[in-house]
Amino acid sequence: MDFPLFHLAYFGDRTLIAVIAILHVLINHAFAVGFIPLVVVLERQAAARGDAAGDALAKRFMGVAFVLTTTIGALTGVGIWLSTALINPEAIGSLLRVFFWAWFTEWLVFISEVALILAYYLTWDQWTGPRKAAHIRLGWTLAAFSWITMAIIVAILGFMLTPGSWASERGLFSGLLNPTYLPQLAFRTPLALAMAGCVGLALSVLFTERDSDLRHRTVRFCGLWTLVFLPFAAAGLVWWWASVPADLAQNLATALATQQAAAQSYVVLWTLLGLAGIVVAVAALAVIAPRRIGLTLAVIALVATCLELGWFERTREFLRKPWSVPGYLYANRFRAEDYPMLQRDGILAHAAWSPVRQVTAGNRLVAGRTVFDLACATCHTVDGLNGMRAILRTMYGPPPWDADAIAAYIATIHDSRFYMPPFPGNDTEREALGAWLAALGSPLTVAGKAP
Amino acid sequence: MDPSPKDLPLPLPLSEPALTGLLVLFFILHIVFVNVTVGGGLIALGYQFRALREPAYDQLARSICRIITVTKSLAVVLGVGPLLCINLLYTVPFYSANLLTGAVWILIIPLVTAAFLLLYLHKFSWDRLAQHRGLHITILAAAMAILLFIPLIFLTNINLMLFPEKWRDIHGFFDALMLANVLPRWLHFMLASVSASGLLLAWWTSRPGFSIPGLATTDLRRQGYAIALATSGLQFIAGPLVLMTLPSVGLNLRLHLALILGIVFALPALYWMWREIDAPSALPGPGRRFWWIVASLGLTVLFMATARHLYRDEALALHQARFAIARDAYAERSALARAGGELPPLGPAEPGAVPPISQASSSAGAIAAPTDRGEAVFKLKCRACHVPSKRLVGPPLQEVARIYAGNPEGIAAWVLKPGRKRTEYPPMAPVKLPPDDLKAVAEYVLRVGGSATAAAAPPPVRP
Repeated sequence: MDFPLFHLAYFGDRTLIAVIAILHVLINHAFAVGFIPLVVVLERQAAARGDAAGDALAKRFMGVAFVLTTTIGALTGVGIWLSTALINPEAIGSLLRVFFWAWFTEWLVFISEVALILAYYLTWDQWTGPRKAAHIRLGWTLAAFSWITMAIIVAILGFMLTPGSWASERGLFSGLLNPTYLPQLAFRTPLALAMAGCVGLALSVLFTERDSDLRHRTVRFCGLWTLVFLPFAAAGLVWWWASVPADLAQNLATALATQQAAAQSYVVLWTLLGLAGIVVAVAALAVIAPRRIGLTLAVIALVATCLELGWFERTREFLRKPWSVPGYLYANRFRAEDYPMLQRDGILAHAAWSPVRQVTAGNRLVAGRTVFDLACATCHTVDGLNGMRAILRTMYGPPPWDADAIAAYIATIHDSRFYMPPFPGNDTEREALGAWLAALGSPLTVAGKAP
Repeated sequence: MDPSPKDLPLPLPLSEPALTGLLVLFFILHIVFVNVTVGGGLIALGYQFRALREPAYDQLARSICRIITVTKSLAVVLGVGPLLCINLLYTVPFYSANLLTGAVWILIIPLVTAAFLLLYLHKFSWDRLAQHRGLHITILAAAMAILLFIPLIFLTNINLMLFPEKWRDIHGFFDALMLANVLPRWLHFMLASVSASGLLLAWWTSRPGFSIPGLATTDLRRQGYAIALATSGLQFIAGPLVLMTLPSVGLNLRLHLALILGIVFALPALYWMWREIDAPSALPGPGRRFWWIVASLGLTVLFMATARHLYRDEALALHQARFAIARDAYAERSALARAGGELPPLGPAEPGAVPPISQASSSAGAIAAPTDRGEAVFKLKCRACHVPSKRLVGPPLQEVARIYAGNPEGIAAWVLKPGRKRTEYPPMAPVKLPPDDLKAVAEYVLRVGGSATAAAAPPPVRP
């Protein structure tokens, strides 16, 4: 309402955040948080055995992590900020004000992490012999810092789902220590470690000679690593789910699948369980018969863990709907406390960038389109992802569509679709929105251009 | 008049002056690493070209690229701090500029990622591509082309945020890029980058133990100073250009004072650089004036960054005040509305403003004014999807009445936990109603649906 419109008409605004954030979390978990401990353990084992080839392999592992985390990993991390600021400046702006000190601390840890990752990788060939022990300690320090950055951010993610006592106290710590924080951390930590085991499997196959001792040893180790941590991840997930409040949990079916396929969401659940089964099977095979692990199996296991994590992120993000910050800010960027005023004044009257101030007989469609841009476009497009034309067709069949029926539906939309915020504007605006939406199906007013 | 954008209502976590201090400080930290990365990359590129004729320079270029590997990552991570502060201090101007140039703004992420990957490719393929120098240089050139463009995106945003009065005329990145001040600032930044990197080169090549076969380190040190001196000298053209293209809105005495102090501290640095180029070559280390040069240029940077902030402060002062006033007025009105109070008019009503169309005018089956509880609940919770005699979102009441004839409990159970009978309809969502309302609405549905069927014979069948 206070910012110019930025809208991705095809992919949808939320897709931009989703792509950047999921890419970030995959790299962060699989190649940093979970992977660095694995590399350090490999390095230590090689040092204990005096195994130069094992040490070189650990370094090559780290090389991959180094390149990925300092490019895509680091930049997508910044990208989450840039993209959320484009899509929902009210939300990220508010979060920054609440969590400044958390983010500030995280920034310091993040600087240390980057410095340590540079130091750890770039000194690998210099810190040898008597300095090897120090190099391994450097690795452990890096692993710790890597985990701390995640631990801080997860607090904010947890807050966005369950703000806990923040709603009444509005303080930093009441927000940080929210009910789903620790369970989520207890899920992510072992999951990251298990994912790293799958990365290790794939890299072992890539970087070692077939049937070599080194390959068998490393593959068996990575398989065991995954098997050890996966049950903890499962337990963490159960704990997390138990801590999600019931009113958010009712979104689960839609969060897992889509609204259309909500009744079949158990298919998704079984698929995810099946994927977890595949990971267990591949990891077990790696332990029992390491020579049977090829690149294909390793990549399948890795992709399976990525799908699991990606789906978790989608589900978690969806559960908090209709909110960006539960109880405070809706996903449509309007604050709940302002609804009583907006539903009387209308949103156009307060929108700095709107071309119209109120609905008139001559501007109904322009006003309707503007109301859509302000109140709906964060999640919906016209013809792209979650597009209105397709939704209207599903609801009402082929056009013509009835403007009044649509307007009536919008008035009660939050009753039947728990993940939708109540309409923030007044009745005239709701009717203008209904008129514009109905006009999307009319040959006379295609794209809302004609009055 | 258009309503003003409003600042966010949550309080800042730190006082404004403290945040401002942090912003200026963190920004300097960030920009120094950016300078060294961009300038160092350009110098390395230059030396790689030179190595085509004088192969000894290949090792020098390689050595510089090793520095960039570290500085580029620190530049990114150190950028987060100033980003944090500017988000808080200039919420409305910064986000507005981001959104107005959104598509290119978000390109920063893939572009910088690509540039960094190219830098790694360049670094790790040095030996492998030794026989393909052209290709190897091209990789670095491509990375640098991206890294020369990225500052333009940032400068465009940082410049655009200063001038809210121009926002309405800006349609996308290129409009904003063409505002008067952007390109001179870019030139200013590039010169500073090469200048800082020249100094770094003088220091780097004169460290104990540094040697490259075929190159005299004293000569390299001299080259570093020469690069720094030439580019710093050119700032005496670029600097005034930046100042002259700045809209006058943010200029004031304090700003000029900071600028003058910045220039005053740059002058001895220039003189010392000149002396170092001339200095006897036998001395080890970067030269006895090196740290004096760094200190005086450091002060220049501090004063220039302060001047830049003073301009921003002045240019935005009234706008920031306007955003704060709008925020407070909005919060006050919102509180009044929450308390159920009378809201004063927002402004004169526009001619032709339409009153809300009455709810009863729905064309999809008129229903009389509610007389019983079932009807009231139905209108509130069900009518958006169901009408008596035709499909809207869900099936008509006639059909419901037929299926559940004499079975209101069946309707109540379905409403609480709907299944899905028809795949061509969207699935119904559960509607949580208290038992009394459920009973009333189920009876109402049977009554209205039944009478609609009676009125229309034969009963309509959906294709």
